[in-house]
Amino acid sequence: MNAAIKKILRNPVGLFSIIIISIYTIVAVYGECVYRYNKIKDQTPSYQETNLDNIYHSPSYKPGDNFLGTDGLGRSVFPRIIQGTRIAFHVGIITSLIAIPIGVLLGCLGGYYGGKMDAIIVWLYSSVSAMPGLLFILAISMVVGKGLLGIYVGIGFTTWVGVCRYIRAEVIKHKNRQYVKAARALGYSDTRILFRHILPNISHIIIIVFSIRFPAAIATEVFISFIGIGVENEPSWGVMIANARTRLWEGIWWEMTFVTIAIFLIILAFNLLGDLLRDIFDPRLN
Amino acid sequence: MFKYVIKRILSTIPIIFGVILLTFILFDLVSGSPAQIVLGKNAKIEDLERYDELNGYNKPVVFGLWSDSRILQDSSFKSSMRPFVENDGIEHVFGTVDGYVVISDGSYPVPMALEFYPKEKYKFIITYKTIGDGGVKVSMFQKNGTASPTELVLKSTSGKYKTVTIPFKVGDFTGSDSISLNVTGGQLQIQSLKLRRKILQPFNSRFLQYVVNVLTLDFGTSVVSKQKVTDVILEGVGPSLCLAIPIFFGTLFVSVCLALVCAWYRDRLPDRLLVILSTSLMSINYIVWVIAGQYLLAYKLKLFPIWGFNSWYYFVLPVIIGIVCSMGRDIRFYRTIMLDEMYMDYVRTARAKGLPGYMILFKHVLRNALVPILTNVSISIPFLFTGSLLLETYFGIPGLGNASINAINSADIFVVQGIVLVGAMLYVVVNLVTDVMYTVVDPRIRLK
Repeated sequence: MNAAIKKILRNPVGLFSIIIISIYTIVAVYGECVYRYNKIKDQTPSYQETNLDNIYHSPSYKPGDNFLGTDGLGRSVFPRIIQGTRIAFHVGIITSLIAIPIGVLLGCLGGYYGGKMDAIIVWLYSSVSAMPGLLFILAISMVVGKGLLGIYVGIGFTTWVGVCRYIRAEVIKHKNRQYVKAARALGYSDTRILFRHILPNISHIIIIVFSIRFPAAIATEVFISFIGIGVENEPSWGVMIANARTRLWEGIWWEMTFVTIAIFLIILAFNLLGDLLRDIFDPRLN
Repeated sequence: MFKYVIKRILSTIPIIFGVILLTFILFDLVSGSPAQIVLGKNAKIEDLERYDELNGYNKPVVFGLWSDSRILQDSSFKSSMRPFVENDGIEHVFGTVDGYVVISDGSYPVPMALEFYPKEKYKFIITYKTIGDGGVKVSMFQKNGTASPTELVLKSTSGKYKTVTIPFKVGDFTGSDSISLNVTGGQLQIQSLKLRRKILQPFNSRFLQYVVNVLTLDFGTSVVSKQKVTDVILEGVGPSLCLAIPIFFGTLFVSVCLALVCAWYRDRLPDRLLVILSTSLMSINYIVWVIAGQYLLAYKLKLFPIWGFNSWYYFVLPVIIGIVCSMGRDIRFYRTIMLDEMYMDYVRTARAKGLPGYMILFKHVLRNALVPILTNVSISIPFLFTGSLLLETYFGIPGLGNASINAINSADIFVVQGIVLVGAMLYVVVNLVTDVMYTVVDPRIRLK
């Protein structure tokens, strides 16, 4: 693992993506702090305060001014993008925390035990993957209800399929390796072999999967919020794009542009990192 | 061969069952009462009951002998059962989690929202605690005759709640307030009072009806437009395909060509640039492409119409945007496939034979790469039918994508359910067909 980290940091592309991801993480944590602070103080956060005297203020670089301009309600765009980062990280992390454990567990069980258990797991993921992707996520979000919960559930309970497939295939490969046979000869229990021997050996897949899932979840959240069944009354990137879209035609370009750049950079960084991780851990795949 | 095809067809049955089960769980169990959705929040209880009775939503979920009844909705004694708890002699206590009532001697009419269905069996379930030492006599009776002639003696020990059921059969009487709870001989603390209706055919459940509906392609009617969902889908498929098919073939053509360029110049500048380009393309959000394309090309430069569905020209811009959106991922994917092939032995042999590079690329590599490419292509065919959600919405193309977004925005659950189901079924069927076709083309697959 240490060697992999060194490899990533030595690679200019890897270094770039790590730096970008770190900056975003810091920004997201800062955004969370601001959000919590305002919640504890029970006050309207500055990024939600409307200021109708100051609408559509174009970006200015004077200190203390609205750095990236203001939107149609006079709210400064910059802190709203920070809050959008916070929401995007929430979505990326929580949906991964739903999808990856489900996928890893089912994939391990199906791949290792085979037989009826595997048949049921394969049946389950084949059924889910037959669903029309994005539409199914939207349908789940609709049924569960507007807001972040619907997004978490919708993305989390559909995207475990890819993780499960990937892990299952890998476990099947490892099942007949020498070290597993040795562990079996020593009389270790199946659970011990599976979770103490095989799982650590395929743990790099979890990292790769996370680097793929995270940006995909962010993009999906942006889409759901943009359509208007996701986040409400909070500056999610999707909501910001939806608001900025109508004003773009009047030449108010900044909100749209800066949000787009914000989304682009984080997704690019994760895509590059994901490629690199696949190169390092699993050269066959690329 | 024939045996394989039969086996493959049989193997889709569990998947179809799984799809039906998943959608049933999502749209029937999680989404709540369809009557409430269709008739609105302020609908009268009579209408809700009539709707449920007509459409079979008051049947048990999978199997059951007793079902809930709207006649007396389950009471927590917190908000519902208003008239009952206001009877004289009833002490209503709010708990932190749940409320309860304390009843002393007397006869208390239980409010019935609706009339009973004649000649059916019902039962009351009372969760109670007796206060004091003696047993409390309880009976349910109707004004013009007793429905539960048996008088139960209730007695709870050690202050725990107990449950008792009082079954009764509805005779030929009517009236909505004609059942009373009669208590004599002590005080009774009641936590809940429920009414259940006996199911005549326990296997005739909501799930069974759902399966039958889906298999007969009856997805109900749209809540908003009152149109049959099947008609909505049939109307939407045409425009969706008009948009999706050019995007599909355009993307395939462009990305295979560019992937060939990558393979030709592998690890040299054009390849590197294309990889960077496609990674960047992948990272730009779909929404941004739609908005920027519409704004710049249609609005600013006036090259294309902005919105509408009148002639082929209206499709040009959405098709271009669609191709650009899906290009990034596909170029990278096809490039990987081509490069995999480039390291195969037959390429080395061909090169050793002295074949020129372009011959190797087009005649050998492309042909061998065709199988994984076609697999990738066949997977995306079913998604052509459900259309592009965003492109259709923002370019005013009345396809299925547009219909689904509208349905999702107006919580039109039956339309969403219908489109999801049709999409999933198509996926299963198309997969089946491609698998069978593969075995025709390549007999080796059958042996696996």
